[in-house]
Amino acid sequence: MDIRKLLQSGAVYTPWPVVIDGVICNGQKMAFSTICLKKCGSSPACVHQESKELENVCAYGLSFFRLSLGARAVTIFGVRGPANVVTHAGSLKQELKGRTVTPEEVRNWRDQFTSLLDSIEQEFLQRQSEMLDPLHDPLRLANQILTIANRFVQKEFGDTPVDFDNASPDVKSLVKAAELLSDSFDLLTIFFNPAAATFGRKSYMPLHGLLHKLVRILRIQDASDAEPVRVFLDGESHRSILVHESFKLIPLALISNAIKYSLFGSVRVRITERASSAEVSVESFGPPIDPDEIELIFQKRKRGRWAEDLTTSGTGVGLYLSRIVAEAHGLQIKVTSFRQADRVVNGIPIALNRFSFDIPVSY
Amino acid sequence: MEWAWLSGVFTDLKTWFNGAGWLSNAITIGAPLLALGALGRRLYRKIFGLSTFSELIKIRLVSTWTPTRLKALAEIAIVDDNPADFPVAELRKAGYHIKTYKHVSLTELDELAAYDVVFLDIHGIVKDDVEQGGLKVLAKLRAVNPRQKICAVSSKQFDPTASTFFRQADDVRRKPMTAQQCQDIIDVLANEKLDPEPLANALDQATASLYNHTRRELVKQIAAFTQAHGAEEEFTPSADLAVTLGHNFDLMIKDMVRLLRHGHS
Repeated sequence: MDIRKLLQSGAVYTPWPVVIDGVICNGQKMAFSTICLKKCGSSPACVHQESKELENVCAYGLSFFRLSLGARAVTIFGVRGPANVVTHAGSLKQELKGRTVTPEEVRNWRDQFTSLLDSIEQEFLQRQSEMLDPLHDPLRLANQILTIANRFVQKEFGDTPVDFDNASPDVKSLVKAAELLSDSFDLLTIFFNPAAATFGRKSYMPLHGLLHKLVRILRIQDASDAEPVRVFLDGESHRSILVHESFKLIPLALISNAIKYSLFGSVRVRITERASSAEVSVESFGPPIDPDEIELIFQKRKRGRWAEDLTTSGTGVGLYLSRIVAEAHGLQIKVTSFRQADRVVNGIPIALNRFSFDIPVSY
Repeated sequence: MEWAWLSGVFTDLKTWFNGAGWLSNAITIGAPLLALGALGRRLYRKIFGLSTFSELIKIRLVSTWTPTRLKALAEIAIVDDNPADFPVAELRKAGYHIKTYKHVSLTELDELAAYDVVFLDIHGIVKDDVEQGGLKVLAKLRAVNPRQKICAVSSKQFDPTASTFFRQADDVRRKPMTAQQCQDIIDVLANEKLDPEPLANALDQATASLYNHTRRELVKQIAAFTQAHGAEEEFTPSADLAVTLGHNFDLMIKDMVRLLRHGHS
C-alpha cells in the first residue's frame, strides 16, 4: 500500500499538515502554517532535523511530530505541542493559536491509520490467496510428474548418472521437462511468497552433487532445432552445505540466466573450494552489464540495457528470485562483467559475465 | 611374642613393595580401592536409589538401544484429505506404525496429540474450515503436546496467508512424498523426540531444582513402575510434582516410560 498516495488522496482523515517522502499533504483541520511557508517554503527543514520520537520543536519555534506508518517516516509539522512553551507575545504566539496538538491525539491518529493499513494488507493477502488457489493442484501434479519420471528412469536405466546418460533423448527430455516444471513452480512459489525461501529446516546437501545434477539437466538438448548452449561444471568439492530446500534455485536461476543470454561459447559453472567455504561461479559470454546496472538486474522485472535489445524472451524475475533466496541464506551474489575487445554479435558487444557467491561448507 | 608373626608379615610386605616397581605398587593399592569404591557406589544406589535419569537409562537402556528401535516405538499420523499422496503401504511394510486421518475435528484433537510425528496438511482436513483448518489444528496440537513433531505437508507454500502454518512446523515438505522422503523425516523427527540420552538429560535439567531425595524417589518410582505395570497403564507423577515441573515435564516422563518399557525389547 502506497501510504503517500493514500494521504494525498484525502480519503484518510489527516487533521494536520504532514510530510512523507518530501511531499507535503495539507491538513483537513489545520492548514499549512504561514511561518513554515515563509521560513522553509515547500521543503520543511524539520524533516531533516535530528529528532526524538513524537514531539520536537524546530529552529523557528514550531512543534513537529515524527512517527512511523508502516515502514515509512511521517512528519506532522507546523503545530504546537505541550513541550513548546512560548511565553513572549508576538507573531509566533499569534500563529500558534489554534494549532495545539497533543501527543495522545497523534498516537490515536497513528494507531487508527496503522489499523486501517493492516486491514487493507489482510484484505489484499486474502484476495491474493484466493486468486492463487487454482495453483494448488498444478503444483502438486508437477511434483508428481517429476517423481514418476525419476522413478521410471531408475527402474528402466538405473540410479547412477552414467545410467541416466544412456537413456534415450526422449526420456532425458522428459526428465528435464519434469525437473524444470517443478523448479519453475518452486520459483513461482518464492515469487508470490518470498517467505517460502526459509520454510522447513536446513539440511546438508553435497554441493558438487547438487550442481552436477543441475548442469546435467540444463545441458540436455531441447526438441527445438536451436543450437544448444553447452554447460560445463569445473572443480571438485567433497564437502556439504547446510541449506534450505530453496537453495538450489540460486544456481538454477544463475545458470538458466547465463544460458538464456549466452551469445558466444559455453557456460561454465565452477566450484572453488577454500578453507571453510566454497565459491560457486557461473561464467558466460553475453551482453555487457554496466556497473550502474548491477543493482538494477536483481530488481523485479528489470533487465540490463543490452539484454533488452536481445530478442530473447525474459521476464526479469530469475535474478530477482535468486537474490531473495540468497538473502534468505545470508549469501551475497557478486557480479562482474568484462567487455571483450572487438567482439560483437548481432551488433551487441560481448562481455565475460560472472555471477558468483561464497557459501560455508563442512565435511 | 604372639604378634611376632604379624610383624613378620609386615616386614615381608615391606620387602615386597620395596622390591616392586612404582607402577605395580600403584596397581596393587589402587585396584582394590577402585573395586571398593564401585562396590560402595552400587550399595549406595541399592539403598538410596539412582539420582538421575541419565544413570537410569545407562543401566536399563543404553547398552541395548539402537536407533532402529524407534521404528517400532514411534507412532506416526498422516492428516491429509488425500492420503494417496503418501506411500502408506510401503511405510507400513518397512515397519513404521502409521495411521491416516482424512479429516479431524478441532474439538477432538487429544488422540492426534498423542502421536510422536504428524504429517499435517493445511487444506481440506477440517470440515468447518476447509482453507486454513490445518493452521488451527497445528496451533492446538502445539498447545496440547509441545513435544510432538509436526511436518507441514502442503503445496500451498505460495500462499502468503499460510506462512504462519509453515513457520510453526518442525519441517516442511511438498506433496506427493516418496517413501524415502517420509522415512528420512520420520527417522530425524522421531529421534529428536525419543533419543534416550537427550531425553534423560532434559529430564535431569527439569528436575535439577528438586531436592535430591525427591528426585531419587521419582527416578526410583519410574524404574519400579516400568518393570511392574502393564503397557496400558500410565505413570502419573504426584500432584505436587506435576504442578512444580509443569506440562512439558509430564510429557517427557511419558516418553521416558515408553522408552524404558519398549526400547530394549
